[in-house]
Amino acid sequence: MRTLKAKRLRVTAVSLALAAAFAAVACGGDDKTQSAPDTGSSRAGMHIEFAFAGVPGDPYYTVIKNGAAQAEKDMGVDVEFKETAQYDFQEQVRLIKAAIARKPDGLVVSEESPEVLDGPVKDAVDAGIPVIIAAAGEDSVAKTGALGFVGQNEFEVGFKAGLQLKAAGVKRVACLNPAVGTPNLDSRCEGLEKAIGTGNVDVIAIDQTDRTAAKNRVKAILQRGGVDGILALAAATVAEPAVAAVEESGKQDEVTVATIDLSPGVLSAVRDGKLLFASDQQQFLAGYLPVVLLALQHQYGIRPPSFVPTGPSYVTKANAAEVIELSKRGIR
Amino acid sequence: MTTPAIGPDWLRGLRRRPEVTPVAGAFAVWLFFALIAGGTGFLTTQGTANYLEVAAQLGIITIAVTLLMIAGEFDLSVGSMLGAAGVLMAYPVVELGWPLWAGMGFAFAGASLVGLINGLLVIRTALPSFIVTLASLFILRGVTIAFTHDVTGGATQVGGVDEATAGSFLRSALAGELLGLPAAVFWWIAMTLVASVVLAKSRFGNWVYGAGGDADAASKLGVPVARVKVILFVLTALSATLVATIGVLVNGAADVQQGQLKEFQAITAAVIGGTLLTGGYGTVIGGAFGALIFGMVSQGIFFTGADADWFQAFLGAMLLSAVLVNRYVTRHAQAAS
Repeated sequence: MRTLKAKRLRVTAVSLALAAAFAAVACGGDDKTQSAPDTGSSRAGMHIEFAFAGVPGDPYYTVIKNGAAQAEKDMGVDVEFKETAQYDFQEQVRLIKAAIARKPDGLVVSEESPEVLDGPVKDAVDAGIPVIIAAAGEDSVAKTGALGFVGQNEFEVGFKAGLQLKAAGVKRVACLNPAVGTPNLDSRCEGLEKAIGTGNVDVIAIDQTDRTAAKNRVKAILQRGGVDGILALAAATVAEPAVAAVEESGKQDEVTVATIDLSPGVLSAVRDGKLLFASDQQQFLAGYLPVVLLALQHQYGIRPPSFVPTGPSYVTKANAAEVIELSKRGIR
Repeated sequence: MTTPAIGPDWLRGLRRRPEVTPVAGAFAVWLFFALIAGGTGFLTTQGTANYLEVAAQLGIITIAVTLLMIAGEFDLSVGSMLGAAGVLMAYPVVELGWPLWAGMGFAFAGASLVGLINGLLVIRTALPSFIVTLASLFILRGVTIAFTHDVTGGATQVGGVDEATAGSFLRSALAGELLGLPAAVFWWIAMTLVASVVLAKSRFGNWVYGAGGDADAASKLGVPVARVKVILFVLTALSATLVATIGVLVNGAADVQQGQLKEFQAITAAVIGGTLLTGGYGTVIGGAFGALIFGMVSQGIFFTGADADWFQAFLGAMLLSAVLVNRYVTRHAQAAS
């Protein structure tokens, strides 16, 4: 809690625009009578908890956390972002159980591991807590009775990335997966294979905590030959080393690289044409929008039905420069 | 040939040559990958540079970790130190415009302080270093994340190192290439040789063995056990900082998550190299070959095209067999003497 409040986040034009846009959609009208959101009465003192399996410091989760912190300010509610110390779903289950005991006014959960988390999330729903699933776990909404999902369809992310690679002439792709076995990442590789063609995708496990090893693994793949495309499933820790590996192997002309998610290094690589594109979940929204949804549900009993997509949107050479500044500040 | 427990004569010489097992092991692993993956680039200069770079970065840390283990202590905070040092060095260089040497000096000073605190805590509290440095592992990683997050206004990486250090001599000395091999490999080999000589020939080397063998007896003989251990904790933190610096310069960015599990990788390399967990026994050369084995296994598996999910299982099996062979050789050598 204290860390969230201490965060020196500037109110950005983007998040303000998002808030305004969302308020307009949620209020169901774009008429001129739209006024400043009512932060006074019934949502003052509202308490929303996040229970995520993010590792503190992971750049991806940091953006979600920053989104939640921004929403806390903008919506005038109390947000507590809880994340596990390790990428550990059992620990996340304990976070959810603790939340059920505290009975917050809203709970936001990421479901990277539905088989472990569906049960506890359903318990929270049964306990009368409004739950939004965010960032991962679209399929769990129906199974748990959660209010909705804010995030992207991971199969679609892989599929659309695959179509773009295919259009660029790529025949065989290495899918660099930093967490083999987690359904949302595996779905990306499966979507990719659907687009590229069965049997033309090699799934490669990459170690995120050692960039030299990650880079050299990609070099080994390139040296072995056969692939003319690379899709990195994470930005800073996977795509950046992959770009370096392609350059150092002198295969820029033979191998097309693209990535899911953003980082400052990925964005400059996109800008410089070393990455074909970066598929962006805009996960700031996965932290921001659930707070808005829960607050409006709490205050007025209104919410969009089910799935609110946050991505994929694409960063290419054309728009990289403008995204760079926001990424540096942990917003994209 | 008096009793079956005594091995053949040639084994007798191995008592003073504990490196033989890791050297033979490294050759066996190399042969394995040469046969399986020789046609896919493992044997080329690039392929060799590939695993040597990984081995070198681990190996530099393994040198200090081996010395510390011989002196009877562990440092589990090495991996967190690596992440912390990367940020300590990169942040002032990129964001405050310091020259590279100043950023490195800052990181080395910070590392010395961490090593000093680790060492003094272990000596003063007489708690097992395993526990003390386990606490440092968490504290250091947590502080690194919180600090980076705060000063950058939400990010957890410091990029732009390439631009900030372009043209620096130190940069080419640490992250350049020579004869197709990354600079880290030469640093690793040079430091391994120096540390071996110090350990085998110098008074400090004797003190290290004494501190880990029987600390009480060593103290009575005038060995400054506490001082030796504190120095080794500092050296360990410094070695992690050197590797962090190399990594940041090679990869162009510092990242708070770097180095996780490096502490166990370094201990693994030391143990494959014949160092005993109980202290008092081990060699730097052995540790270097342990790191080499680690590097070959971790990268070689990608040349084979085998499912990379098997890497950790393979590594665990290597570790177990290395320790079993070490024990077999040591027992027979001792029985024979």
